[in-house]
Amino acid sequence: MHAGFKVLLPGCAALVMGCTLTRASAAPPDGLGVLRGGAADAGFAVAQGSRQFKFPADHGPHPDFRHEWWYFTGRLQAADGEQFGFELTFFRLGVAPPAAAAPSSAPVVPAVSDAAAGGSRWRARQVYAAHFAISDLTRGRFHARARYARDALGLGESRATPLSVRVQDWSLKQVAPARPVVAGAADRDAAPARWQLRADDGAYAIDLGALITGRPVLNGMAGLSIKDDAPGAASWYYSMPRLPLSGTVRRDGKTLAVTGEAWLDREWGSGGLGPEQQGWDWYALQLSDGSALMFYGLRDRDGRPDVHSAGTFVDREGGVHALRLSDISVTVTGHWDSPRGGRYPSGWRLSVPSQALALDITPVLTDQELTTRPRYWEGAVDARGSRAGQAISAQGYVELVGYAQAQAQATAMTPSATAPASH
Amino acid sequence: MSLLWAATSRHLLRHPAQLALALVGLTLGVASIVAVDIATGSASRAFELSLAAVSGPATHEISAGPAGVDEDLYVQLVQRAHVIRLAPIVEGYVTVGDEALQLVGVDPLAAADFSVHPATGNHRSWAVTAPNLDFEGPAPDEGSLRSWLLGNGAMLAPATLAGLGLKPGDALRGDVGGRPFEGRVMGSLPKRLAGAGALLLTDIATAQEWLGLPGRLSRIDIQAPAGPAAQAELAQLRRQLPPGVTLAPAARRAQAGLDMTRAFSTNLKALALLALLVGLFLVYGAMSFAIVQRRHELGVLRALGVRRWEILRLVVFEVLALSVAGALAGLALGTLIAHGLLHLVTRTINDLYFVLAVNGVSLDPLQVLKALGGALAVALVAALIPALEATGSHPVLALRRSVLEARARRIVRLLPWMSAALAVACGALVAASSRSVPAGFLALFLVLLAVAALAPALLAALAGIAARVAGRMTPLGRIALAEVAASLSRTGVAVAALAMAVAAMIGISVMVDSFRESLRDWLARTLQADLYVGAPGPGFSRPERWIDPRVAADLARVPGVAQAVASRRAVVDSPSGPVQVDAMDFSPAMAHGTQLTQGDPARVWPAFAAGELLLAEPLAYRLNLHAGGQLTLITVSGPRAFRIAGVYREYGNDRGSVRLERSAYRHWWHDDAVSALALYLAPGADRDAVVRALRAAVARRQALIINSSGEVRATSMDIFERTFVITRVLDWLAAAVAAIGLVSALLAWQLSRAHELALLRAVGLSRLGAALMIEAQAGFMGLVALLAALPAGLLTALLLVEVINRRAFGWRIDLHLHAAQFVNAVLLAAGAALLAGLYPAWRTGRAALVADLREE
Repeated sequence: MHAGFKVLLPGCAALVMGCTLTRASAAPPDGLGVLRGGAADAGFAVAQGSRQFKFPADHGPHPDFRHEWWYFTGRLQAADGEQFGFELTFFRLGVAPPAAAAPSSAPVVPAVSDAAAGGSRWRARQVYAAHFAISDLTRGRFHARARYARDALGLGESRATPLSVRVQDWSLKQVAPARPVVAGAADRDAAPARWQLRADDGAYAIDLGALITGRPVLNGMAGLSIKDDAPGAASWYYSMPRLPLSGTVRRDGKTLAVTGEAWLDREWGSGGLGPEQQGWDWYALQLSDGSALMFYGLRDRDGRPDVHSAGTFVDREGGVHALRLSDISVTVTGHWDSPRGGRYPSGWRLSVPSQALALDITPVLTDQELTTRPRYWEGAVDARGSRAGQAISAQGYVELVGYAQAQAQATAMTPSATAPASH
Repeated sequence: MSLLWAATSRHLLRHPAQLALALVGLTLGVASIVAVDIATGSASRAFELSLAAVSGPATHEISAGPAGVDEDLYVQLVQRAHVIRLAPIVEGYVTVGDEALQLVGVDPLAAADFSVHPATGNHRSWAVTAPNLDFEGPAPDEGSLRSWLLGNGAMLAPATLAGLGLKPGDALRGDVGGRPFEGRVMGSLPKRLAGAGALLLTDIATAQEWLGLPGRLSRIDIQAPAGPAAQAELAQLRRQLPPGVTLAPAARRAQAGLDMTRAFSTNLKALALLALLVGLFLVYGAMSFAIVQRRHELGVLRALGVRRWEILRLVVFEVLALSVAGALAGLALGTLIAHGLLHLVTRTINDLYFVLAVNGVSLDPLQVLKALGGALAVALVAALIPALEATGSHPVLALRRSVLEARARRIVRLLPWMSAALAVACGALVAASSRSVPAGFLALFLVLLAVAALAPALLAALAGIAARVAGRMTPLGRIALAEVAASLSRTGVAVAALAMAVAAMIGISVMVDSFRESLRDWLARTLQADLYVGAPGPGFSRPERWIDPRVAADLARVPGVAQAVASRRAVVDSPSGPVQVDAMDFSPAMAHGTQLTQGDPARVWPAFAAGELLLAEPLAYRLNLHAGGQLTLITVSGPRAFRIAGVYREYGNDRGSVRLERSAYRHWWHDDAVSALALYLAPGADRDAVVRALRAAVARRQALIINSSGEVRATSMDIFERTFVITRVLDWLAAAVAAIGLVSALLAWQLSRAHELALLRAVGLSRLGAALMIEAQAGFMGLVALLAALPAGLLTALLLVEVINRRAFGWRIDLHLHAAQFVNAVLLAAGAALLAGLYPAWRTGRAALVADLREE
């Protein structure tokens, strides 16, 4: 799961609410509307049943589904020891089902008109957003920005072959395809695909090459991640927990060579959270023994854990263990009050008894809140603990969504977050 | 002391007419000042707000020629903008119902990016669309991204929606240059977005399609935060711009808009100044009469031992109390009048310049203070002069009015010299200032002041002469006229104000008539074709006002049409600001219809056909250019200096325009659109039949306007008349204020003379005789005002036509004089004077002799 839920482009994401035809107006104005409403929009495909994942094709976009994201988080080290965390996420959001896929019962939406007949090239059936955040851990600075583009004029696009997802010049691009081992060839001729991640917001820029190694880990039930009881309130969800990175970070005009490891979350679907669900906490940890843990805890309006919360543990041999709410225990050990309003948990004790795993997780920086809409916290964390009696450490990312909303309407950081007059 | 207060308040209460006159004078004076200030102030405030709503948080903008900016340029530039934000804008004018609206197409996704930046002022701009995107409207689909991107959704201000009888969810139908469009109201703009009264907000795709401008942007807004990084990126972006595309501070467009209406608002300001001047005269008259009235009483108080400063304090307090009451009433009345005026101001701006919706009057505290302070100061001066005079005199002298009048006569003897000095100063000012408009207006006011100074002197002299002449026939005539001359302290001021108003009226009348005649001649000469076809809509030179080329081709083929001459009107950029270009096919008829004021026709027309340009007089004057010179325009290939073949007379645009051969225009600006077609009929063709055939040819394709040259002329004259309605209204306002000043002056004067009249009645003057005498006095004063005003009025007209119009607009107007122009002036002078005499005459006729005799 993941942040994916935030398909939401600040400002316009929420507006997406309008696309969620049912229950939308009853939903709270928290900017998570696109994920609410459970059932998927008419005309979009629904995540249900089983699916035969195919790679690399499934790395590319799935325009039949309403929303989709490519979610990279990771830690970077410069040669001189400077530490960074980064988040680079691309969201795709279908405004209307692809023209061919729209059933006759769908609301009438004019076909994208062609320029020759006086039509505008700005017409688009989907839009993109990208969030880029840098946690400058050594200097104690956090910097984030969002960009948006419609699927028109090449402002934003997503493509499967070769893989390319782009919001203006922030991009994820495949620069070299995988070379599989073929009969008769030497082993060294086999090579994983290489992707390039680029983002630049003036103050910070990243240009990172990622090696696509290891098999994608299918979360939930063979990749089907169910968020609510409503039909269609589910998504297809896979992760790639350890992608080796190398490249550069540019800060204030100076370029630093960095290496690191990224976590990729991929999710697509057409439905989302139920109206009673308030938000979620997502943890993605790369453990020092080579294993990896992902867990998302959904919360209801009273802060109680939702039974649909789930996770995945990948052991160092690559074995995948699905986790349910009952398999995991999380205790909040600290809190942080955002100066922009809202009280976030800030420190956890997490244990997975079935794996004999216990971890104390702490944020590397307390304030890693993105002032986008919806406002959320997503930041680098460190963890220490034990596994089967052995000391263990971990690095990773935690995402906290649904804590800011109480004050979000009142303490607007930007006009875009002010409560619309219509409320 | 309390006795003193009691005395003064009792005096005022026992003379309610005096109290009322003083209050009416103050009220009207302040009202006329406030009304004009509010009307002009509200219009310019509305303009600023609407500009803010449309340009919002942008610090810079990228624009290009009439064809706009290529959208691919935006796509290319936005990729590399990491610190600065870019937003594409498509705008134009549309008509919905009877409303002209400014259509602004934005990309809500770019708007979201814009508003994320912590810049101030976003709440006043289109950037509100970003937050507004996430409202959950009344129906699930309202305001959704789908409505924006695919549903032709539009947002309007709540008041505008109410005015059109629309609500969110309703279908929205309108037209652009005669081409219909249909969309849906997806929501109302937030109330906090001021200045959005004429705004119709849509997605950029919708705007491009409705306006018929696919592929083009009107401009690219840029938001550059402070700091070197943004400056560096801006500089880099500037280097990437192709020729003909300019990056400029966003304030420049605001400046261009303000420049456009500058001449117009200078005119309004001048008229406001006239109202101020006349209003202050009125305040002066009202207050000085109120005190002069009490001269005798003040003398008595002094004789009783009241000290001078005590009396002065009393007067000051009294004046302050009266002024504040009068000023507050004036403020209220002025606000009322302002509503009416505002409508006229707005309509003129919409006729001539751009679409503007003024939602309400805005009261600028500074303007109010100015009006109140001015009125208060004048009232104080007006009251203190006679008070000082009265209290400064020996108590015995103060009891005699003759002393006051003797002093007034001494001043009057100085007035002709003052008048002459003012006239000389006016001449010197005109000669010394070659181009300044304010100097022109200053000269105008000097002339009016000269008249004001001359009138009392003229009154004294003429009344003296007339009294002697009339005295030979009837002693009563001598008494009546001598009385006028003897009461100069009151009659003089009234006549001065009236003369000034009449002179202004003559001047404006002659100017407007001359202008109208010149315009009529020009139209007759310019409109050579039989029929004119154009796309409807607001904004003369808007790019979206074009004739569908297929329709244009069909029109040219209609039987009976011998020749079709196409023209394009557009606005292009130049180093000295936006310039309107009229691109026309060259034809001998066009050459014949053009009145050249510079350049030899034998040389001008071949040069024009070869791509040189012609300058309209106003532009030539404004830029100080002449035939043979050069004018640089920003073409799609960058700046290019065009040679000026000649200068021609034009009244179509007060900013002036440039005329260019259409093929040259198409070559330099890559714009093939046609704004209008001039059709010449074949000899013997039936015009009505051709018009019917033309209408059939365009039916259901584009709602074009097809007019005969006569209709075009009539429409042009209509707009002309509308433009001057406000001038006339303000002029009449000033005249009415002057007339009321005369009435109150006469009334106060006659009331103070009740004793003398009663005496005359007692010695045998009949009631009718007394009434006639008063009317004769009033009529005489009106006549003198008229006599003083006639030469001054002509001088005023000359100044308006030759100096002010020339300097403000650069156009040459032929002076047309005829008797009708003076009728209003005569009516004003005579009517005001006779009306002013009516009430005193009626009152005298009815007054009880004994009571009036005992009064003193």
